[in-house]
Amino acid sequence: MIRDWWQRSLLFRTVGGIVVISLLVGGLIVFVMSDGAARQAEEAAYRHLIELLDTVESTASVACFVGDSELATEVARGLLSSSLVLGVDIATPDGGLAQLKRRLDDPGSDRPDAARMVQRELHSPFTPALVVGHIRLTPDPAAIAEQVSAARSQIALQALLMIVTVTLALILTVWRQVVLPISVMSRRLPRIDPGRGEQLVPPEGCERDEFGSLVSDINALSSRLLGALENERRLNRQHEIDERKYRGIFEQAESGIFIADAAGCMTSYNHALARLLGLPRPLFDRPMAVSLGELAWADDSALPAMLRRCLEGNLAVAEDLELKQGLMPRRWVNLSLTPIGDGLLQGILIDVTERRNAELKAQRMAFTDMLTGLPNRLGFEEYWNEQINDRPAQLFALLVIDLEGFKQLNDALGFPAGDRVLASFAARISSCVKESDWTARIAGDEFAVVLRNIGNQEHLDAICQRILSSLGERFTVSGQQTCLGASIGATLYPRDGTKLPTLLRNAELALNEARSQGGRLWRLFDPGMIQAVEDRHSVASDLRMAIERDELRMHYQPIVDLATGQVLGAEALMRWQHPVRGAVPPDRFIPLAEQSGLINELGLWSLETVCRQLAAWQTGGLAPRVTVNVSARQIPDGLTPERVIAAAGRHGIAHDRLGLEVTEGSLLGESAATLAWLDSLRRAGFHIYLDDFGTGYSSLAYLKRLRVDTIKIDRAFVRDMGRVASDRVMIEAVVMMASSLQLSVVAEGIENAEQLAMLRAIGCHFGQGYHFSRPIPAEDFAAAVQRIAASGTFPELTAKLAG
Amino acid sequence: MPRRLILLLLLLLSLPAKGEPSLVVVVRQDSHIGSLNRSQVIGYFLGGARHAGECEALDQLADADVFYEKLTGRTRAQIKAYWARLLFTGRTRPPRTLDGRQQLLDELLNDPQTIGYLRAERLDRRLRVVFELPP
Repeated sequence: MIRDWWQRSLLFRTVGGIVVISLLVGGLIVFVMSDGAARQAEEAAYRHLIELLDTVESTASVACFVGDSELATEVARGLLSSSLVLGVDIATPDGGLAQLKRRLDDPGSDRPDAARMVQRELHSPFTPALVVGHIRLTPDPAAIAEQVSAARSQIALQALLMIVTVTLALILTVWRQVVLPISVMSRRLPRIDPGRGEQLVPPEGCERDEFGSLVSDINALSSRLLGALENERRLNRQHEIDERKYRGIFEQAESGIFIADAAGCMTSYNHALARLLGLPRPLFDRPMAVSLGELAWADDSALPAMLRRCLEGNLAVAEDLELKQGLMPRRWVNLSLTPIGDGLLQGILIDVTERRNAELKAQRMAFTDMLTGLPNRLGFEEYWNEQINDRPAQLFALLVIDLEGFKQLNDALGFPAGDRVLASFAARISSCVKESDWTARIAGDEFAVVLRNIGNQEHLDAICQRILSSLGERFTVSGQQTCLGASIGATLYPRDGTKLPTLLRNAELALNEARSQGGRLWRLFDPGMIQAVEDRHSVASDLRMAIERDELRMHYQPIVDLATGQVLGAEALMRWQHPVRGAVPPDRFIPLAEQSGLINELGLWSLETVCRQLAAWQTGGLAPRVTVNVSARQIPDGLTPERVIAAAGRHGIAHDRLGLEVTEGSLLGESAATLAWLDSLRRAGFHIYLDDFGTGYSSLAYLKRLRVDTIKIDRAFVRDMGRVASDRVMIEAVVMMASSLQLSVVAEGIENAEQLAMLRAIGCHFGQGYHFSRPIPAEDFAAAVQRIAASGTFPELTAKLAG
Repeated sequence: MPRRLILLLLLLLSLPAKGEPSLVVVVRQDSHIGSLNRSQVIGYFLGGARHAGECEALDQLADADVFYEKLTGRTRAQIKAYWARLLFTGRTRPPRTLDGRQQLLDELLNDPQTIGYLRAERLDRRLRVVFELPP
């Protein structure tokens, strides 16, 4: 009970403390003071006795002086009237005068030593030096003790009063100044609602003291707490919303999401993950214990390695992992792990099987030519990296096979036919090589073949010939019988190089060599080819300077009317006198010019030169029709009809004196622009010559649509017409058809009288060739005209002229 | 020299203006009382020497004031107060007082057991000085 009060009541505790302290201190004070008071009381008693003695001294001394015992007795009796005095003894040196004792029955009186005696010498009243007796008082110890105890109790009483007063005052003060305000505050506090802005009011009269500041502190604290609470509440709300939102995301996500520890044990995961991995449905109210490691990974070591990398490096990692699930097809999942602290990981798992399959497919497609089923260039490089780079010790040959005339065939018959042809050619190539060899289609009509273990050149030759003959066989496409040739460039590993780009370039060079040598054959790379290429490159760069340096010359080869033997025209042919290399043949630099685009400049230069020469001849009385070669690259923008007309006009040339030679190939596209170019030139009056007729892949049907004026039969037909019957038949057919279409025919490359005679017999209109004249400078042209006219080339004409 | 002068002056000043006679304590010539000192004289006259013998001290009015004053340094009133205390018990009595010097002389000569005081010029052969009070 008291203990309870002690703990609960501040007042009680304060009062208790004050009382205890007061009692202790008061007791000490009483103890100390009562001792002093007792001493003082005792001393006062003795002082009183001495004063008594002082009072009676003179009378006593008189009594002694005169020895008057009655007087002495009287004095003694007077003394005894003081309660302090127990006994009086007045005596002279001769004997006692008076000896009185009070309460003789008192046993204490027997012991005069119990208290200190008070005695005094008595002197004669007249002679102070003379001692006449003494007086001795025996104090009453009981009386003294009584006085002492009275003093003590008085002190104790005072102290007690003081303590009680002080205690009461303290209690009152504490109660009034401390307990009351506190209880007032504590009564008010619970009734306050800080949420409604209520504040604690300080107890009355305490507004400015410590309670006032305590109250304002409490109010400040409460408003701070209120603010913090409000904040907390807002955060909680926000957190709740977030939680709901993220929970929703977590639940609804299509991706598998989970939290796992360092060992890969998942503490929680979502439905999607359960669905993806076939795990039991997740329960959010109790922790999961499914380990990632127990899943059927194809590679058991990948996951622990990922976990380690993620946790040790404290970085997010992601990887595609393969899962094997019983008999089901293997599946791929993309697993990304992010450390989230405390050794925990957050993981996202996505099924990427489809993407992975698509990637694999795309990879296969990227490496495969869909048309032929062969590896493409990328696949070829991949194969190279895998198979060849690793085994430098083996010997093999790299072939590059190019189909000749495929582009024309494609153009003529369309892409579907071209694709079928390509596929069948790929099959042919594959059938010519061993299973261990490797075939790839590295460009539109180019194939690469790696022949393994090629020991000697004979072996290589045999294979190449087999391929060439196989590819040269006739075939039917779109109902047409046709055939394509092929050329092969070969290079040897490691003799010619070990790097794929080097070897491919080598093979291409050899291929070019084969093509430039007529095609349908194979060539093995040799280092001289690089030299040739470099040569060509320098020629090309020199060609750019040739016009400026005036190194180009125009030669003219006369065109003769085979019926009359008269020179009716000439073909202008460009000649290049290189300062170092000497004469560079046109078939060497024209292709280079075509490749580099310089052909336009050369074409303009030719036109200008020819026009100027025509003008010169015109004034000199000569009027040949001169033809200028126009490259396919110049049509239609390199040499526009406007430019031709302008050049002719500038030099005052009649349009029918200028002919433009175009090749079959340049017209084959039959594009609208080409046809417009052709038409506008013809309408302007210029003659159009179809050059090299019969060499390209062309149809006679074209001749009807392509409105040209003259056909020039290729020199190859003329060259062989004496030996190959089909060539002569072909020329006849061309001449007949041309006649029916009202076209002129020029036979090129007439080299002897026999050919001339045959052509005349066929009825070919015009001819040109060494038989008449090689191309000659303009200044020699007039002489050549005279010489041809005068020569015996046309015996009957000569005779007629002579006759 | 100045010191002696000052001493002489002091001596002169201390002398009574008119030469007062010295008092002497006397007894009859045949009295058994011998020479006395001051203390003994005080004892005889102020009751302290009761046991000194059967001797009666006598006062005389004429010289009492001077005598007691010279003997004890107290005034007559003080002496009377002294005696008053003793008279309270009645055990000790003050000296019998005689009216004049002649009566004292007579009494002294009459009774050897008496002692009295006189001016020195009143002495005669019948009396013996036992103590002399200087003037």
